[in-house]
Amino acid sequence: MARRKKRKKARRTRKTNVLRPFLIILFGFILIAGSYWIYKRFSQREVVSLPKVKASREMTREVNLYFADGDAQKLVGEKREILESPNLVKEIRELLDELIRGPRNKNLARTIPPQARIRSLYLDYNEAVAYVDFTDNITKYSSGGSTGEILSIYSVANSIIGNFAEVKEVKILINGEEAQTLSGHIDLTRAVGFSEGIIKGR
Amino acid sequence: MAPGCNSRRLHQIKMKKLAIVLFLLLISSIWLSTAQAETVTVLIDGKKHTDNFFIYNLEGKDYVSLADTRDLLNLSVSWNAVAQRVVIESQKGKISFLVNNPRVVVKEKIRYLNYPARLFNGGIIVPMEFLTEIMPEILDCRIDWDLAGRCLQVTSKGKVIIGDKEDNPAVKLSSRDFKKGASDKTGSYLRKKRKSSTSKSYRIDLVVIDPGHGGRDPGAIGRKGLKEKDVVLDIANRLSKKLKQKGIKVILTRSRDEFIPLDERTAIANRNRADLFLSIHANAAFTRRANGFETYYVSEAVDDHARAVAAIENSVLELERKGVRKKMDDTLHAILWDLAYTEFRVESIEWGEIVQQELNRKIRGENRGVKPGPFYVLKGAQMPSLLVEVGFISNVVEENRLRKSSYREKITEALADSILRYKRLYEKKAGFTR
Repeated sequence: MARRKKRKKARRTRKTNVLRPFLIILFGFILIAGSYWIYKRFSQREVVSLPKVKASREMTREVNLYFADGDAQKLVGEKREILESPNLVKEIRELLDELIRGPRNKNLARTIPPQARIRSLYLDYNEAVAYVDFTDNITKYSSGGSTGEILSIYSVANSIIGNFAEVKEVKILINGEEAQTLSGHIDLTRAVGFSEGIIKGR
Repeated sequence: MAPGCNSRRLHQIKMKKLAIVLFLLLISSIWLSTAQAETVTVLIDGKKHTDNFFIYNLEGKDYVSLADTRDLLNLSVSWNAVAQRVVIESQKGKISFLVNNPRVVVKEKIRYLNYPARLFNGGIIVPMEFLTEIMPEILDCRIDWDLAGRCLQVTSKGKVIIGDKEDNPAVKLSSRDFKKGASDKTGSYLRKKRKSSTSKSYRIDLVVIDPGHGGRDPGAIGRKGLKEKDVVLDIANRLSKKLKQKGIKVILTRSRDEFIPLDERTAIANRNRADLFLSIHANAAFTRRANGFETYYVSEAVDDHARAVAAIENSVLELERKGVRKKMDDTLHAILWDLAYTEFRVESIEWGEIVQQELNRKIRGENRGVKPGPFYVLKGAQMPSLLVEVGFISNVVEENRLRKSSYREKITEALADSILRYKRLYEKKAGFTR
């Protein structure tokens, strides 16, 4: 009788004890996965927003922006001055704002709709990738054609990579997320490198 | 019993439980990563083969390791890591295939597997159907897989070329005797079935036509409001009718105004094992002056093939260095994608040139040529594939032309002729090599 009671008791304790190691392992896993996620997330966003640095003397640097030629066949470089900054992200952002503003040369054409806005921009220094996160205006106001799409993507990629040695590839995001395409044609799921062949005369 | 003793026992039980749980976790994680490997009996001409032979069960399908198969059947297998191409050779012929691609070239004939060969635990595994249906083509034997009995039987035809190397035909083969050939009903049935369903010679019979955009996605819109999705749907429907008259089977990804996701479009072509895939679009750019027609084939980037090649070479080096597992998977993934991009490059370009020639002959506007691009719509198509931009809807003159039924008819004729011309060229070439 006593023995049976004891067995019963043991069984009961067993039941509660069975769950515990599972919980410990689960908790440990969540802890590790969570910290890894946090590490990944914050190691990528090096500089997102820094207080505006006011240059005492306005130093500028010359950059080469890529716009479309009149036939929408190739990209052509146009020189611009942008404010120099110790903050690389800020410089790239200014370059992109100039790109969105469009070309000054009447024979060239814009590659990005004027309504396009950049939500955020961040650099992965280890992989040398610039992530350019546009609002969905870039899709909404896109030309809608394959040619327009190719020119949009490569004008952004070439303009950034061509002027910043720190960047080797550009990945375009839309509304903070990876997108399949800009307007239904070109693959945006992989980062884009500098394209020599799309530049006129090369 | 003393209470102290009791608590010690409880503690022991606790530890035991923990150990069991950890063990189970370990087992399950191993199981998850390696799927199920099972040793099966192999009978070579009725004799039991001594080496262990493993069958892997992945997603409910039986696979065997290519290395094991090679050892079992004394074959020569070569593996090109850059191209991911496997070539199996015997005196009777050659089998070649790509990893993750269901297309298999057997003695210069194309066949399709239901499931492609895969990379698994650092080796190549092939589905059971490959062993039983494809391999015997280049062997003097047949291979049967007894699903219920979990037993693989290799049966020689006349001469014994495998297993015991002595020349003794007609070993007790029980009910599955095959030596006199003709009497075996299942054998001939299988071969007949193979000829009609899986065997495919170099022919172009089925074309998948994909009118771009549709439904909530209008595509490009002209200044006067002409929508790309309507123009291309009309051209696709006309083209479909025209090709059917010429005896070519056509599948449209959409035959009305509906939204089809991009992945689904090539998936339709792959599922139906189409011989050609043509996506029809109308172009646009911010430059209103831009006009003309152009044809795109899929590639890594808009130009630099050299860069793509360099990337592959780098990733192969990295593979050899054996970096972190994740990195390796990434590189493998990249290589496999590049294959998907490049496998039909030559065929696609050839066909693209013909499309441009035909369009140039029949419609006005600038011939903008055949160009490469990383097109999501063409990604992963397992056949020659093109995206044709029939004109700029953003150009007012071309928008007006695209509105006209007669102009659309001309485009349709050009596209139909390009497919027929390419069909003749392709089949003539294939006939030459056969």
